Amino acid sequence: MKHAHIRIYSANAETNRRLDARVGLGSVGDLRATSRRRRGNTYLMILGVVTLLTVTALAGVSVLRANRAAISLDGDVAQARVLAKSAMQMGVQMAVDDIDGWRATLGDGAWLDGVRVDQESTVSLFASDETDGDIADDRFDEVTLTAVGRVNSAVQSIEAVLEIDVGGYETMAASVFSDDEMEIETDSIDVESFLGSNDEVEEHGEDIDEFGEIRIDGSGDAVHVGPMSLEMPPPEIALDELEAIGTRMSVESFPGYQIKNTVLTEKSNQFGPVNPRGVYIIDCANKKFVIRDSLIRGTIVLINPGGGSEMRNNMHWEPLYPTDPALVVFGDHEFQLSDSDVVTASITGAYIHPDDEDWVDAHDDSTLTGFIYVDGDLKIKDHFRLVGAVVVGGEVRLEGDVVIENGPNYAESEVVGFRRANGLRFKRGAWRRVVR
Amino acid sequence: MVEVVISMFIVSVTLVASLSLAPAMLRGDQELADRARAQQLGLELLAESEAAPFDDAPAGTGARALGIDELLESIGITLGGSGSGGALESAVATLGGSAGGFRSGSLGGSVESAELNRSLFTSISDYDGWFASPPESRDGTAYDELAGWAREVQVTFIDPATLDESATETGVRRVTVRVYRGEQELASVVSFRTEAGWEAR
Repeated sequence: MKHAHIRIYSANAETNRRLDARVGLGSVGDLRATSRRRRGNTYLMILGVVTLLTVTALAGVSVLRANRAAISLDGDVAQARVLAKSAMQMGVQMAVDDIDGWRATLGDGAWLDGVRVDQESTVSLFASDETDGDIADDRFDEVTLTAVGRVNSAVQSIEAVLEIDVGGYETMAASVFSDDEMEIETDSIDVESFLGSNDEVEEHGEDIDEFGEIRIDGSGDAVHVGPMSLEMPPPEIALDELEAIGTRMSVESFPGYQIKNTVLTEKSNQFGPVNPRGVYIIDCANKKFVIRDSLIRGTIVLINPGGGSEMRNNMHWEPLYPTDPALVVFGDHEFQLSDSDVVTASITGAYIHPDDEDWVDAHDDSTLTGFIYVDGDLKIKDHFRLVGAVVVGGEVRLEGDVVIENGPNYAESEVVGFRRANGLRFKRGAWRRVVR
Repeated sequence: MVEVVISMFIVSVTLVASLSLAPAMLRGDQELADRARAQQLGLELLAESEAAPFDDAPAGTGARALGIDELLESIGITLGGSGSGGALESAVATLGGSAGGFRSGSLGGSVESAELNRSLFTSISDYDGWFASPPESRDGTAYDELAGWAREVQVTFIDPATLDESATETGVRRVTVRVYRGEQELASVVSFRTEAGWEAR
């Protein structure tokens, strides 16, 4: 309930004070204080509103800045990812630019280390061999590449595996190919592929065109005279790879320095220990070494053969695996074979592993199968029948009856010792983002 | 009375500051949206160029990789002459229209045509000097909502070890896509393409 108060002032101040006190009113000074409080409250309220407005504005600015930073970061992340992919491409280019030596020169670790793209961006690329930790030890090992793109504070890393596109040499697509001169001294030559040489070809026989195609300049559809320039297999690599899988034997293990009237396979070897792959490496120590009248299932590698080393009479020969070569000679060699199919008659009394008996019985034909490489000069004298290809590092001379049918396309195969890194490619399904 | 004056002053200053900030914030919002869009436009064209085969044609020569004569003939322009910039400009003027084209390179002038679009490109080099305003899709459809925007591509030879520009073929190309709104560059995105990388993909 409200009460109205009527102040009655007298001329006496003391009386007024008493009256005020009686009705419960303060003095005039109290009234002034109340007024100040009200103004102070208004002032505080205004300051509060101002503060609120300021805080709101500052918050707006902060949100704007945060948005700007987020959008900028989004852009940086996208650009960093593009740069990481770019670094992958550059890595492949660096390897291809030094296709024969990149494993040694680039090696494990950083190929690109924070290379600056612009003021804000860098790219890095790291390589490793997840197989054995050493990129340089095997030219066919896969290489894991980790690329890092960095833009300001945004970092993106991706990983991919680089695999080697393995094949053979183009020369291996020929029936016979020589790095030096080729002399054709026969009018009986039948080849399914082509004859080729990186040097000149001399023809002294007649009508050879009707049997096959002589390709000299690489066009492949006409007879040409002129040099080709196809890459030859490096013999040192062939020897390294074959020694890694083969069994070395002394020439003294072979009576008369001959493989004669015998069976030589991954199970049958009367001259020494067997090699599970049938790969036997014989250092001929410059002795004349002859292979004749035998059945061979495997690979023979002849090192340092003496003059006159040859293969003669009746031979049946095939490698254990199609991707193994049949014969590799680091020196000169001759073929002088017979056209009779009576190989088994020659091996009476030879040691034959029981598991090989059926195979021996089934292969009485005098035929060679597989890839043959001769690092020196080769002379093919007569009755040469091959299902495969011959590549010669020196000169080749074809005489007598020569018939060569196509085997596998060795230029596209992975013949041990004669594999070539034709290129690099990213392994499918091996791309992934990583944190680095 | 003094307090009221001071308060009014503070409020006024604050209000003025806030009101002057508001348009800046709105502009900032717009710019942010523009930059985000520009980034996407840049990445879009970059991704498209990454799908184009690598070739050994010289960069910095505009459409030379494709053969500008062949390119123009494919859209019905026969120069019948040396292919100078003047002749090209004349041919373009005949066709009329404003769309994508080349504005740098060996041509000595800009080439624009409504019929010229990136679907005619056959290699990464074809992108060098490409310019379109407004930006357009690969088949030449203009992004009409982006009037006043522009997108251009530059392709240069790069030394792979240093990433510096090279005057000769190195097997490495730097592809830069820049996006503008008016005269302002809003985004610039970069990728590197290599011949071996393309073959290894």
